[in-house]
Order: sequence, then C-alpha cells, then structure tokens
Amino acid sequence: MTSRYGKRLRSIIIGVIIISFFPTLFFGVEQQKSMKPWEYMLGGRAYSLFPDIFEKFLYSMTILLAALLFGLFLALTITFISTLLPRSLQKIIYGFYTMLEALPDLFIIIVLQVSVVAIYKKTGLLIGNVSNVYESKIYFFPILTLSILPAIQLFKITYLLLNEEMNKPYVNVARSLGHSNVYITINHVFRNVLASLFHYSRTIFVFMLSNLFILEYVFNLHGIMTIMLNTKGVAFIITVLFVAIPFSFLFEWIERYTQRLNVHREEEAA
Amino acid sequence: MSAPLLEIKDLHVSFHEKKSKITAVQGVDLTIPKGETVAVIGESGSGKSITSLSILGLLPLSASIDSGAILFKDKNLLKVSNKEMQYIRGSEISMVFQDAQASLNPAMKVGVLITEGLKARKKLTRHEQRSEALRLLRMVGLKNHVYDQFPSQLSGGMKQRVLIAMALSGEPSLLIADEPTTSLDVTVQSQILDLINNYKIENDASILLITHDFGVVAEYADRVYVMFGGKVVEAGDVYTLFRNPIHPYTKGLISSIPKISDTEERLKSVSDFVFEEVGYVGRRFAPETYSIENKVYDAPSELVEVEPDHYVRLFVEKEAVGR
Amino acid sequence: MIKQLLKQPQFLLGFFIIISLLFVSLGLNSIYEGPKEVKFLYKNDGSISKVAPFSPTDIPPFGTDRDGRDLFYMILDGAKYTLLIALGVAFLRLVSAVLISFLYKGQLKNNTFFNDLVQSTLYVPATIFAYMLMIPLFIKSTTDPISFGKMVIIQCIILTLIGIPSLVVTFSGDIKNIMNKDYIISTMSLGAKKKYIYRKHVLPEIKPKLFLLFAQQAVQILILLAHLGVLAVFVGGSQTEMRGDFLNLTAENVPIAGEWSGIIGHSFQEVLTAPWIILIPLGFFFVSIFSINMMISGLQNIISKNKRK
Repeated sequence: MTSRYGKRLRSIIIGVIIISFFPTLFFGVEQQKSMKPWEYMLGGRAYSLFPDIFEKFLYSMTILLAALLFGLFLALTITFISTLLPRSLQKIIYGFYTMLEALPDLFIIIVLQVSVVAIYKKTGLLIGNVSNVYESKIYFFPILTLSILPAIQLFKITYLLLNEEMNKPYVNVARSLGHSNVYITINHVFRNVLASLFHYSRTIFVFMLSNLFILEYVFNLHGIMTIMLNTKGVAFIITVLFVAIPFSFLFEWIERYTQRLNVHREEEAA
Repeated sequence: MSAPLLEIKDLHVSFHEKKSKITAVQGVDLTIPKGETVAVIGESGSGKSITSLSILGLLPLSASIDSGAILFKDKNLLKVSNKEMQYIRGSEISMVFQDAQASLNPAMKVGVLITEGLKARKKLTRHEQRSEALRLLRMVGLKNHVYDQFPSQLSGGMKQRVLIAMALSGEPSLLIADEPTTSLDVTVQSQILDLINNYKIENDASILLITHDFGVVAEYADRVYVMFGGKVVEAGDVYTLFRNPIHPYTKGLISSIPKISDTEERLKSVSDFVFEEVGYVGRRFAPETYSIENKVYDAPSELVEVEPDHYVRLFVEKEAVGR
Repeated sequence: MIKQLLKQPQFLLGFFIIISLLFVSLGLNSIYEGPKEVKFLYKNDGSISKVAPFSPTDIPPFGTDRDGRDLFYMILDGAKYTLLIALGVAFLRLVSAVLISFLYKGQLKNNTFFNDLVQSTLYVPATIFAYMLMIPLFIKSTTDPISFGKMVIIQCIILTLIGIPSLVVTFSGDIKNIMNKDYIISTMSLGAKKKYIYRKHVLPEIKPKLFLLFAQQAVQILILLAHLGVLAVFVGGSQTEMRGDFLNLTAENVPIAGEWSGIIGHSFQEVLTAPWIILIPLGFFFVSIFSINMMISGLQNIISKNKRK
C-alpha cells in the first residue's frame, strides 16, 4: 500500500505545483511577486501561514466531517423511514428530493442566513450565530447548512441502492429463514448499501469541499478554504497539500476496501 | 402413505403487470407426507417455483394468490399472521435456493450468516452459537475455517453447502429445495442431494424437491408431480410413474433421459407439437399437452385416478362438461 | 434515441423551460427597451416614501436593486448570457475532452500518472481554480484594457479548461472498458482498424453518456458561475464606477454583462437588507438546474430502458 500510495502522492504534489503555476503560465510572472511565500492575505493584511494554518485546518475539517456525518445520518434515517412507507408515498418523497437537489448551495446558505436574522429581528431569539464575530468560532449553523445538500444526495443514492439490493436473492433467503423485514433491511441490506456508498465518497467529497468554500466565504468563517483562496505560490501549494494528503490517504484506504468487496461482486457476476 | 405434513389445495396464483393478468399456477393440488421426498418436475415457467414460494409466502410483489389453501400441520399458511409466518419460516419450513452465488450476502461472513438464524430462535450464548454453527458446517461437510470466511472466498459447491447449513439451522420439518443443483458441477450435484437426503432420513423430515431433471427424481423422490403450464398433469408414486407414464409430456421427459444402453445416435427431446389421442380404459382422452393449438389447450380437463394413486390430467368428455 | 426522448415527459418539461427562457431572453431586447430605473417611490402628496432597493411587494413581480433597476427585466435579459455560457462551455468541455481522450488513448498505454495528476484537482474547488486564473486577467486588464468580447472568450476558455482533465479521465476509463469488451476483441480479430473501432463501436456506445455528461457539466458550470458571482468575478469583466454621495465616495465594480451571477455579485453586500436581489437570481439558477436535472432523469430513463433490452 505504501509504495503505491507514495507514487500517487507524488503525482498529486506535482499536480498541485502545476496548478499553482497556471496563473503565471497564462499571464506572466509579475503576478506572483507581490507576496511572500509564507503569508496569506486577509482583508488587505498579510498574515503568517504558520502556525495559523493548523488551527484553521482543524476548524474547517471539524465542520466538514461533522456535516458529512450528520448528513449521512439524516440520509440513512430518511431512507429507512421511507422504506416503511407505501410505494406511492416513496415515489413522492423521492420526487421531492430530486427537486431539492437542484437547489444551488448558495441558495440554501443564504436562505438560512436570512431567515435566522429575520427570526432574530422579529423575536429576539438567536438560534445561532451566522457569522464569525471576532475570534469566537461558530459551529452549529455551518454544520447544519453544509449537511443539507449532501444529505439530499446521499438519500437519493442510498434509496436507489436500497431498492436495487432489495431485489437480490439473498434477501429472499433471509426472509425464508424467518427474519423480519426490518431486521433484514438493517442487518443485511444496509450493510451492502454502505459498502456501495463508498464508491461515491470522492464525488461527495468534491461536492462538499466546494460547498465548504462558499460557506466559509459567505459566513465569513476563517478556515482552510479562505486561506486557499487568498494565497499564491508556495503558500497555496502548502494549503492544498494540507487538504490533499489526509484525504488522498483516506481515498486510498477506501479504494482498497471497496476493491476487496468488488472482487465479490465480479465473482458473482461471472 | 403416512399422514400428510403439507397439503396444497386448489392453489391459483397470478401475476399482475400494468393492466394484464397472467396466471402462473391454476388449481394445483399437492400433498407432502411426513418423512417423504416429493418431487415437482417441469420446465421453466411451469409454475413449480411459484408453487414453492407461495408455501413460504415469499411471492414477488407483483404476484398474488387468488384462491386455494395451503395446510401445514392443520394451519392454513395463507391465513396465518405475519409474525406466525415468520416463525414458521426457518424453524418449520425452510428453503434452499437455486442460485447459491447470489443467495449469500457478500458483506457477511459465513459464521454470521449461520448464527443469525440461531440467534433469533434459540437463546444461546455466543460460545454455544459458535459451536452449533461449527456442527452445522461439519454436517454439510465443510471445515471449521469456513466460519471466518466471506462467501466470495468459497466455491459454488461450498456456497450451496453453506446455504443448506443455514436452511437446516432451524431444524425444519419441511425443506424446500428449489433446483438446488442446477448451478453446480455434475460431480457436486449428487453430494449436495445426498446431504439433503441424509437430513431427511435422520430427522424424519419431508423434502419438496423442485427440479427439471428426471434422473434426480428417480434417485431421490418418493412421489412425483409433473407440472406443465401451471397445472399438475400427472402425479403418482415414483415407481408407478416410471413404469407406466401416461401423459405424453411425462413420456417425453422420461424418454429424454439418455440411457447408456441406447444405441440411437440422437437424443430424444420433447417436441412442442406432439399431440396424441389415445384411448384408455374406455375413456376418450387427449392429455392436455403442450400443444400450440389453443382449442386443445383451453379445453376443460381434470385429474383422473387411472390406477390406485396414479393421477393423469385428461380432457373431460363433452357429455361430462354438459352434465 | 431522440425519438425516445420526445416521449419522456420529464425531458420535455425541462427542455421546454430552458428553451423558453432562452427565447424570451433573446427576443426581449428587440421588442421592449425595459422599464425605467425607479429610485424613489412617492406618496400621494408627493413626498418620498421609499428609496430603492424595492422589495417584490413594492414593485411586482421581483422588485428592484439598489439602482432602481427592475429585477424581472434584468433576470430575463441576463438569462441568455448565463444559459448560453453554461451550455456552450459544457459543450466545449465535452468535445475537447472526447478528442483528447481519443488521441491520448492511442499514445499512452499507462495513464495512471495522468490520472493521479488529475486527482490533485479534487482538492482545489473549481471556484478557487477559476478565481485564481481570472483575477490576474482582471488585474492585467486594468493596465492594458481588454475588449469585452475578448474578455468573454478568454473567460470561457478558462471555464472550459478547468473542466477538461476530469472529463478526460472519465472518458478514457470508459473507452478502456469498452475496448476490453469481447465484441471489440472479436472485431479486432477480424482485422478492424482502431480508427474504425472508435468510430463504429466506441462512439455510439458512449453517446448516451455524452448527453448525460453534457447536462451534468451544464449544472456544474451554473453553480460555478453563481459562486464566481459572489466572489465578484463577473463574466465579461467589470468596470469601476464611483458611487455614493460625495461625502463617502466608494469605488465599486459593476458587471458589464447583465448575467445572473453579476446581479448576485453586484448586490451581495446587501444580502441581509435586501435578500430578494440575491435570492431571485439564485431561484432562477435553481429553475435552470432543476430543468436540466429533469432532462437528465429523462435521459437516464431511456438509457436504463435500452440497457434492459
């Protein structure tokens, strides 16, 4: 695993370096000079990259992972509940979520932000801060906002996978052994659905990273994506690698895991 | 013939697709005595698998039972509550499916697959569960290490054995084997069937063997039901049926078994156009056959006892219909 | 396939919405000059009651922005830019990706290095990537001005470029899968040339997927445009205008083209005071994405139907 991952990591680093030089390649060198390599710009002022980046990285990742887990939890719960409903109702729910899926991330962010402020103005009830005030960090709203769209996407994926799995012979076997439908759904089917869900991890991650960025920008949170936007050259490379190294490792692990499961699937197909 | 364990009476099953209705099983009567192996033989689409699935209440959503009764130990399985049915599945009646490759959950280890059936039924400690599962594995001829393996690590025959171990974990009094050997090598086939047969002998259980292979029937079955087009066309004791097959479909099936003694170059096959009209015991009959002539196909027919415990589906005389 | 598509109600509905938005937008200027800017609303006695921006209840249906421009008109007018950019860039991305992957398959057998390289783009959101490339362009344009048309073309090229690598990876994976299929091997064993196989076997097989990817790319580009709008990066560039009263004069970037994301970016500072200016264009992004998604699901229905056959 280490050698293959090492090779991949090397390619990723080369890729990041190439990306960081694209602007220079297109528009000449003079754009890069304006900044020192270990600094990032925020509000017209330059800050040192270290050690700020650790704290910001942790903050962003806390939001990202918490939102992912919360979104996954929501998606699985909704999927499970919808399996208990009659077919026609399931179709309506699915159609409704298909519509929600089209919502741009910005729309959700702004609707939530505006409505929280409106509620605050009307009733004086502050549900949660919607932007970072001074140095205090906010968690509740960013996590909630960031989890909505992945929850919708994950719901759609799990729902489709679940229906696919439900028609597989092993479900009938489990039923013939006298297990209840609920037991089969939870113990047999969800297990396989979760395994297949790993296939979508990359797509979901890319999607959430993009959401996280716009969320940080709109909510004025100072996280890793804000730094990524406001750095150039070496500082940019370092910032991207901060995200890339742990996640590429995670993907590598997931790939290995799903490959093992895939071997089963292919054998079954044969 | 000992007392019946399971009796199917006049079962009608149909599929609903959009607006059309397709009848899959029309008026099947079937009796499984205690401690015997009953074979249901027929080509694909003859309704044999649907009959077996309706016993366990596992029909696909698009299918429904229109009428009939399935009596098991004096209970009508079509009327029992969901909970009761769940209890019956696995511990009273269980099933071995034909496609072992897809019938095992790929994400669960063999040990878990077997013990989860035990967990639901008997209150065993973890250790007892494990030793019971290992006993079952040994019974079906597998080694202990299979317990910790995933289904993908097993061969087709081993998967089928695991499937049988799962089905037997509840010690059912009726085991339904739905073409348990079709997806397996010929060499493994008889091993698997022997395994099922041994269980029958040791536990005085009954087997419903669904197959399209008359060779298997001759070897293992006590009684045979020949199904065609959703109906039983001939039924009887296995010896009677082999000695004196009457329905042309049965004849066709039996004659299509290759015999080593035969010197003919071509194997016989059942032709779809065979249409016989043979007199028998003074009664005019044309067996309801696989004729493509609709008139014949739709003509009223009934099972007639032509000799003791030997039933053949015959066309009813015109006078009889009028009566 | 097109005949089948016309039988899909979902596809038709989505297609109808997109096409009618485009046509209304394209035809709007020739028949209607647009409403006048309204900066003040007066009471019956002539005194000023309200100052722009006006909410949708003051000036239906959508209200105005801070300059008193009617949002309804701006939306309809801007639709053509936004939709054409999204569709056009999606088209360019696909065509170039297909060409590249066909060419590059012939030369490079082992494409893991390229794949891994592309992986690095996973960790840089497309918005940041586009922003990085476009900001130098704007800075450059302040010193030596770039014409509007040229600006739009360069920006579209940037938007196209950043989407190509991942598409190339997708396609070359697909092509590899198809080339490994038994029937291709049997065709090759009969002596077919690679070029022939690409044209006669591979292209028809990835054709339905091309439609699907085209629609998905269009959605991605729409979202990217909305994000860029928030970052005040406008397609067509912006001009600096001085505004405010002479006591606190501020310079402000005003988008030149009336594109939707420009409307968002231009008024983004007022999100809490006049949220409708942001939410209404975003709502139209939603409608467009929804329509394209409908077309996608119609397409998917057909693909799965054909597969089942």
